[in-house]
Amino acid sequence: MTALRGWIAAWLSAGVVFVAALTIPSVSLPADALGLRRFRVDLDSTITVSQTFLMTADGLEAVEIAATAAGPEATGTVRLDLYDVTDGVNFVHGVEVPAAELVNASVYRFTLPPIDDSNGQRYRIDVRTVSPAPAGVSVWATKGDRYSEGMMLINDRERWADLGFATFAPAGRSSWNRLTSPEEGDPTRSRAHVAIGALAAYWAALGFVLRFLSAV
Amino acid sequence: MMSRPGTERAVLAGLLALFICRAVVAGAIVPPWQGPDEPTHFSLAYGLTMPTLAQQRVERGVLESMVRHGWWDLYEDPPPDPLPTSLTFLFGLGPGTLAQPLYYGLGAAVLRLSGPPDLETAYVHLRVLSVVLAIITLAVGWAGTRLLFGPEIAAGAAAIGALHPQFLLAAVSVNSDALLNVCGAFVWWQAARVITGRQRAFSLALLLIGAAAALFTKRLGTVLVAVAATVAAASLFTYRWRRLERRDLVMAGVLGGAGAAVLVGVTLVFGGEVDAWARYVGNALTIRRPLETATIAEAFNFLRMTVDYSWLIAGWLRFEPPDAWIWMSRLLIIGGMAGAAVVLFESGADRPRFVMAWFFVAAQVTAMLFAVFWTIPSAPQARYLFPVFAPITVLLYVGLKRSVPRTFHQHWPVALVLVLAAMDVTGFTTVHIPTYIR
Repeated sequence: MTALRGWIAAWLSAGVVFVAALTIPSVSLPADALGLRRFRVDLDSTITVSQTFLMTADGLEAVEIAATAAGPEATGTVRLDLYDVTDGVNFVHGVEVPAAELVNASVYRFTLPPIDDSNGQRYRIDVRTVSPAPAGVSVWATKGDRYSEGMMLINDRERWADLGFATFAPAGRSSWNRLTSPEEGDPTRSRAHVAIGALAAYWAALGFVLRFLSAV
Repeated sequence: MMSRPGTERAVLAGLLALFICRAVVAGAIVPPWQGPDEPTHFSLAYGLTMPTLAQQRVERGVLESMVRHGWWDLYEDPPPDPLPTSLTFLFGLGPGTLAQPLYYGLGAAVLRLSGPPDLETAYVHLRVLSVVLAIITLAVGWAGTRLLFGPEIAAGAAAIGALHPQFLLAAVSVNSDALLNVCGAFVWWQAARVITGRQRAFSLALLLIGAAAALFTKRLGTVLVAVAATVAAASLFTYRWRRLERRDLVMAGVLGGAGAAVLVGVTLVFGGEVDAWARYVGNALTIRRPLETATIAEAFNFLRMTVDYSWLIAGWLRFEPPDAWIWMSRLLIIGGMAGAAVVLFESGADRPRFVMAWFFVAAQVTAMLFAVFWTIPSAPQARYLFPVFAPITVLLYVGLKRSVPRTFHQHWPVALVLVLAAMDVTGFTTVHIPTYIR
């Protein structure tokens, strides 16, 4: 009876490992989700908010920042710039966004041409104003050193806080996400569903093996 | 332990079913041409199924298929423009040769039977052949291990084999390694029959036939010939030399004479091919790197690579698992081998059997390091050790079991399978899926 319980526990544990392995991305990308001690930084003509981060995968393709409306109407234009600050300060990509568009959703996705060799590089994203100066727009941050590989800066001065941000690269997708929604044109697209079925059969066969091994 | 034949059969059947499920997963994820030297091996086998003129189109078709399946994308390079007409223009592609014809002949025979409508379907058929050969390798290896060490170690070793990520990659590759591994497992099985006294003379003949088949499959098969000859000599010395009977002498004379006649006949009929084969094998013995150029640091690096590349590395030695995963595999390999060394010294009546397992493994490892370091400079790879996969898994199983407390031995097989399955599935999710499904 003990052996019987043992194999079932082992089999269920294997199932948990399977699910975790499939759903957790193999690489943790730099990000800081907003915490309890969140606060807003209002953007105006005198403020530049920055966040540094150490990229953990190749193919950096987007940075999201958490922005919100600070008044009845968001006006003006905000500029987002990404710099590679690994060795000096090198401009990578920039975009100007109407403030109204920035606060349209809870996060704004700053898309850039994928950087093939971004792994291990240190970057800084700047959020600053351009003419006409914005009004009624804020970005979210959280107090504390929540993201350990970078920090928030306001007008180039370090702050004990991190901007609410997230980075995106292909490596950040979970295996489950890749198997269930491979990119258009990926030749493995049609075979991904076969892999899911075979993984389920794998787990079933594993149970069979554990059942009989426990009878040893 | 595991005395009921029904339970044994169920475990073996379950392990083989598990392996088939894993092969289906790997086959669905790993694109064609990602196994070592697959383009060359496939072209030779597929080319044998068509007229000589049509064979020239095979390599071109393979190159076009490589473009379609992103072979150069995975090197982060654009495909060559214009596309070459022959695989010989690709740097780093290992050679195959019809001077070692067994795998290519078998592959061509399978393709003639299956009649694939196009080149990529032919690739799939040969991939299935490799999986079937891998299943045979596991089953035959299990048979040999069971004779030598009993049902529990046979099941444990087979479990390691069925859940080994690099063996799986070899099993979904179109490569003559697949047949060589069968030859290796067969030699192991027959060696087990010889030393356990099961139809010794007949098994001895089969042992030598298996080794000869290896020799005509891949150069690395030479090691199996040396191993088989040593086992045969040791067997004769141990069991027969004091009791040689007339019929033994007659049988040895008949076998020797038949072998010599076959050799003479083959040399007369296929003189050119035999010369090519001899040059090809001899080429692997040419020292291309004087010993004095080697350094201690390099030796350690080779040892590290031998361990690190033993459990999982995909895409022609490019795609490695995360560090934590590699450390786990180092623990398994080094812990297992260290434990197996202890078992060797502690073993009583079983010592000759453990000596044989160690001899198989040591011969193959030595040959691999000799080849990749001195004669065909490259990197150590697990697939070079798979001809002796069965004895390797035996040593790992008994060594790892020796490394855990005795009180845990009752749960050991289940715990080991659980750990191996966890490593296997995380190997898929950290290496294969991120690499091949973008």
